[in-house]
Parts: sequence; structure tokens; C-alpha cells
Amino acid sequence: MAKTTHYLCPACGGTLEFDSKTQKMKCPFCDTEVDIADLEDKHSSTKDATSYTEEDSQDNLAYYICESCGGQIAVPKETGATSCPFCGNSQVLPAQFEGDLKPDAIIPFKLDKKDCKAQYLKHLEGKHFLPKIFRSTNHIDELKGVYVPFWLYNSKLYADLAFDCERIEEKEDSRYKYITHYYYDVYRKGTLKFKDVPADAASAIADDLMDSIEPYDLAESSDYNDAYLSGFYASRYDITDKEAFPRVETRMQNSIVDEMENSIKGFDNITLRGSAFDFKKVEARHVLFPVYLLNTTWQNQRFTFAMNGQTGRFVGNLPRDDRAYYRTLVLYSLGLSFVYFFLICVFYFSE
Amino acid sequence: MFEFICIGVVSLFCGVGTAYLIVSYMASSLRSVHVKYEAGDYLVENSLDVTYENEVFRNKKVEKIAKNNNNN
Repeated sequence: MAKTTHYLCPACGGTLEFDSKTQKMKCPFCDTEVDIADLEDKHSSTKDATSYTEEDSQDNLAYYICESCGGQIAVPKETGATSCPFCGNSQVLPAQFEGDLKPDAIIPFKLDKKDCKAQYLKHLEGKHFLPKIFRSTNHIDELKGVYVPFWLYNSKLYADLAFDCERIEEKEDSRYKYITHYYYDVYRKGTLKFKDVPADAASAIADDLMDSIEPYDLAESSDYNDAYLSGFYASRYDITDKEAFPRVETRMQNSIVDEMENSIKGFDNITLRGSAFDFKKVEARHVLFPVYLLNTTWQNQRFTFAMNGQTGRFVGNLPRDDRAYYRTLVLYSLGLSFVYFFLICVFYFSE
Repeated sequence: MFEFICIGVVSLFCGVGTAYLIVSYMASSLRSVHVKYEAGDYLVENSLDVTYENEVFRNKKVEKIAKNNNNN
């Protein structure tokens, strides 16, 4: 049977949550702090989760009863940490991260929700063609800290590449200008090593959103401990390392082509003509990265933003005010057309 | 008169084209989510090992341009 774990405050018995500012477990009721390394069995309460699954359920959800208020919590089956939507009580489901599912490392949250909101407002500043009303009336529907599962790949990649290269020489005499194009076949073979190339392992989260908040600093990672999840959301991976690898494969292949191309000197044009790749050694490890996800709705459109919970890098596409865009385009077109007209007339009639 | 019309049309095309480039650049700041196609942040330093390199001359082509009137 699934179990839920709560970490209990030694002073008041409230549920401890991981605090990103102090990097310790903190009680939201009495502010008592406990170092994660000092957490003992007596601080944790693991109980059999009161759970049930609905027969013939098509929606891939698991259902739990909150130990605190008795509310029903419906979560995707991969969920490893959540909070009760009724009373806010943190729930960690350690079974999702046991045995082969246990992450090799975790980067704890370094920033909190206030930092995320501040970054969101900063993200809206100085943006041309952002509708003014979006800034003033838009409100945040949801802001949550999520530990997203990633696969990190170490690899040694071999490439056999052929390029078409061109060198251009110009000479002139009193009557003619001579442009000579020299064409070469250029070959390069070699290897390049990669370390910790990430690919997100959760199908529910957009890949481009996770790519955009890279990179993470693995030097600040810690050994996995369930306690880091308390107060946040988390899910185990549902994309295996083999399924995630093709995306990373493309990135590594493109990088080795770039590096080999940079090693070719003395040519004006270089075009890749043929390539063959072989991955000599691929190792994958499973880690959890901190991400803040922020959702807003505006004019019936949903906008999702993400912030790197370690570095604070904030991304998210914004709507465009089409009226302002086309008005600016017409004004600039007219202005520049007059400038070009004046310059061409001066040049043409002065000859 | 015909020359002014030609210059006007060319100026308009150039003006609209340049304006489109400028305004597109201004609007590009609204998009910050992109797929990454390379892994440059994750290269192991000094690990590029080129084991074979060769450059083979294939052919050449010469363009001869008269200086007075740009016809070949």
C-alpha cells in the first residue's frame, strides 16, 4: 500500500517544509529550523496512505485521502509529492522514489515564490508590443514549485564528417577584376566528450520550456532525500532514459559538427555534406531539478512561464498587441521610405 | 517624372523591408521559449580529439568582370 510521509516539527508538531532561503527544514507555524542532516526517524511520520483507485479509471489518476482534513486528493499516478488542495498540508509519497526509481541527486530550491513573482514582473518590463492591459489586469492563476525529473547523459561521441569548402580570391588589373573560387573536399574525424546533458523525463512538461531555463549548476546538487520534497510538488519520471535520448543525441551531434567546423581554417564558405556518428559510451543518471511553474490566463489563452529554481532564469512567451505592432510597422515604413527616397535622389542626381 | 516614380517604388520596398526587420527584432523579445539544438554548455573542456583531417582540392572557377561596365 502507498505510504505518505510528513516531517514533524519537534517544537509544535506541525509539518516541516524545506525552506529555500535557509536550506533547512522549517516549521511554517513556529519557525523552528532543523538541518536535513539532523533529521531523525522521530521527526518523520510515515503512514499507510489512505488511498483507493477507481476501477476502470481511464484518467491515469491515483486518489488519496488527506490525513489532516480528510479531503480527497486526485493526482497523476507518478506524483511523488503534493499538497492537499483543501488544507495545504504537504504530502510526500516516498514509494515513488524508492529502489530503481530513486534519483541519483537533487538540486534543492534556492529561490522562493516571492523571488518568482518578482522575476515575473521583471519579465514583463521593457517588452515592445506587450498589451498594456496584460500588465495591469493579468493575474497569476497558479504558482507552484515543482521538482522535475531529468535524465543527465555523459557520453563520448565519434563523428566522421565531410564538408564542401570554398576559398575566394580577388585580383585586378587595369581593365578587369578576377574572382577565383577554389573548391575543396574537407574531411574531419574525431571524438568529443559531453557531461550532464539534460533531457526532462516528464511527459506533462513542455520540452522547450525546460530547455529554455538551462543550465543548472550541478556543483550545488545534493544526495537525494525525501525531505527536500516537503512543501513542493514532485513526480517520478514517465519517460525512460532510452526514450529521452534521441533529443539529446541531436544536440550532441550538432555540437560536434560545430566544433569540427571551427577547426577548419582558411575558407570563406563551409557546408556540411555528409556525416556519420557513433556514441562510444553513454551513461545516464536520474536527477530532480527545481522549477517554478506559473500559469496565467488572458483573453481565454493560457500562458505558462517557468523559472529555474536555482539560478532564477525566467522564461515564457508573451502575447503581442497586433494593433501596436502594425501601427509601428506602417510608421517606420513611411519614415524609412522617405529617408531612402531622399538618399537615392541625392546619390542619383549628383552623378 | 518616370525616374521619380521608380525611385519612389524602390524606396518604398526598401523602407518596408527595413521596417519589417526592425519591428520583428523589437517583437522578438516577447518570445523566450526555444528548443535547444546544441549542447555547447555541456562540453568537457579540451576533450575535442581530431584523429583525422584532410583537405582535397577539387576544382576552381574564375569570374572575370570588366571594370568599366560590370558585364562579364
